[in-house]
Amino acid sequence: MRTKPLELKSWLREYRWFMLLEGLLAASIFFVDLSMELGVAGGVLYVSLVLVALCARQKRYIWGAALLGTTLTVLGYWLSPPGGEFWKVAVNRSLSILLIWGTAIFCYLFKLNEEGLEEVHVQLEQQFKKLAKKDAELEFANRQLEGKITERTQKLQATNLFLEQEVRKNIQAQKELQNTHLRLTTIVNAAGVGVYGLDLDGITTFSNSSGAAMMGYGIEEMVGKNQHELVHHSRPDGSPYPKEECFIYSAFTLGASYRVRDEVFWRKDGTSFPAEYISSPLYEDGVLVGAVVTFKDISAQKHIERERETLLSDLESMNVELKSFAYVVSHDLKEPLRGIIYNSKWLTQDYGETLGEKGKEYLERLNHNTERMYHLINGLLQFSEVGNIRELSTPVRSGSLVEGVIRCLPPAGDIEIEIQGPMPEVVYPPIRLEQVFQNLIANGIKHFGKQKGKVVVSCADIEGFWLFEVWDNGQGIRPQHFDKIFEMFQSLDRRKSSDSTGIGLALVKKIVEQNGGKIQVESEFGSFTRFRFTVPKVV
Amino acid sequence: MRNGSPLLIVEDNETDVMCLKQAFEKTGIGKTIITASNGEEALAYLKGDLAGQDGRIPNLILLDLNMPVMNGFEFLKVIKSDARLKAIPVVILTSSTSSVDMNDSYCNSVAGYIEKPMDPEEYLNIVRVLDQYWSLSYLPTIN
Repeated sequence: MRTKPLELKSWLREYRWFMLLEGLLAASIFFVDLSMELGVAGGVLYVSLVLVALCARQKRYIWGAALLGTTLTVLGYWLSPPGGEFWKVAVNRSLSILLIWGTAIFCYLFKLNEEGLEEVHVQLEQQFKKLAKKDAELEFANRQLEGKITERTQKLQATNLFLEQEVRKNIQAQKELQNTHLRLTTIVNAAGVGVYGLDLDGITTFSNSSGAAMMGYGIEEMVGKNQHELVHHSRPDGSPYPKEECFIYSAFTLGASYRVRDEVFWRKDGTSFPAEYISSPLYEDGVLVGAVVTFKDISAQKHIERERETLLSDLESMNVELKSFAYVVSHDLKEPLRGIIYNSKWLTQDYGETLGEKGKEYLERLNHNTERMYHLINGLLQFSEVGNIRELSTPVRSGSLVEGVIRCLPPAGDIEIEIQGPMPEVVYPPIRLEQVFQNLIANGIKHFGKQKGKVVVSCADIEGFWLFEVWDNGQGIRPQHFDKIFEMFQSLDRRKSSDSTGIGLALVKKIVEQNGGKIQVESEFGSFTRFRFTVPKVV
Repeated sequence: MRNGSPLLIVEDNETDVMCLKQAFEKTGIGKTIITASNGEEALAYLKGDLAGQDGRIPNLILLDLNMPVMNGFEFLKVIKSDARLKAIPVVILTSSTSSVDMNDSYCNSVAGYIEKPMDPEEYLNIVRVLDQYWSLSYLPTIN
């Protein structure tokens, strides 16, 4: 029900509909007025124009409507058909006009009031809008703030996590450091090494426990004291040791490291022990601030060294004794042996016939064995002599030396001995070189194993050495015996002749090696044997 | 061998002394032979009254090295530092073939170094060569 007047009102707010309605209303009222007598108060109806104007958009239309009503009322006075009395008509028309204007004033005031309300309403609305906008802004800011806070929180959480990890790592590292420190300390103490530090005045700044213990002090008794006066005041013989000469001091006065092993440290109880120490300068940020000294008690070591020296000299004298023993024994053995040889020979000579064949055979066997023993003893003497005595190396013309050796050899039947190619001059002990060739050539002939053939001596020049060769085309040596032939007493056919002692090649090897050379054998059984040995060239 | 002065053999091994004496007999070299069984005995003879007699001082010595009481080297050193005796030539006759012994001997002014033979027959040879050599070479006269 309330909507209708509102609809009408809004409809009237449009200018053309309002004007049309006002016009139609005015025209119809004017017509009614004109169609009635003057005495009828037709002008009162014009109040409706004013009331309609109340619904118009602007309040000045109220005044327009009132003016129109007044004009039409006055016009009606003149145009309406006469009737009634003049004063009545005049009063009628005046009352109508009065009513129109009274209504108009009332409506105006009402409209004015309504407009004021509307303005307040608009203002309120505007305020509301503003408030809403602020609200929205606030909400946005709020949201932004929340986002930032969340972001910050996340960052803080991450930082926290990182810090926690760092702290954990730090703790771990600290633990490891502590472990390492513990390990190092344990090692340093277990190794029986003393460590202490000195400042530039020679005052002890720190000491490890084993170091203090070795000197018989507590750590607190050493720190802050002058270490030299405490433990290093005297030399091993007890004479005073001025600190100006002390090598420990030199580390921080001269800035170099010193290692000393022939001094002593003095214990608290006045005794001393031989110590080996290293004193090293200590730098902090490139500035010399003192020294670090590590030391150990070397009593046991010194004791062992002394024992070793004693043992060595014992060994040496024993060696000398042994050598002279070997020499004297072999020497003294030769005399009685020669007696046996002589007598068995005389026995053979003088009584051989009466002994009969069997007896002669026994005597021959006796001779053979005693002679063999004689050669053995001679060989042993020669062997023990090599390297036993200092021998002078002199320039030797190897060609003529070998010629001499060949001349002194017993006749070799159909075995030819020759020197092939030039032979150099070498620096060697002459007797030894003679022994080498004598043994190699005699060996070749002795074990030739064929009726005919030859032994050839030659020499080649190789880098830094002369390579001598004694070659023969005799029966050769089986490969499995190559190593054996150089061993002592390893003659491969000792029963054949008494002078095959098994010392010859051992002697040759010893001589060659003692004079900086090497010897080797090559052979093909049934075909040839080749001994080659080197003699270093002398620069 | 020149001169009629005797030969002194300093040798502890009787077999060797016997061999030498036999060899001199067999080769018919008429030489008076005096023997001493070690250096000390030899020195006693050389410095004693007996040797002081005319014609009794030897002008050649055959010396063994390895002997008891006083060995060959000790004996050599003594006579080589004795103004009167150091002129007597000494020939070493030993079983040692050590080069040390050889060098030491020659350093003490010996006149020769001979190895005792393995075959007793060899003594004949040795004596013959010695005789030949000392017939060629003059011997000193010791007063």
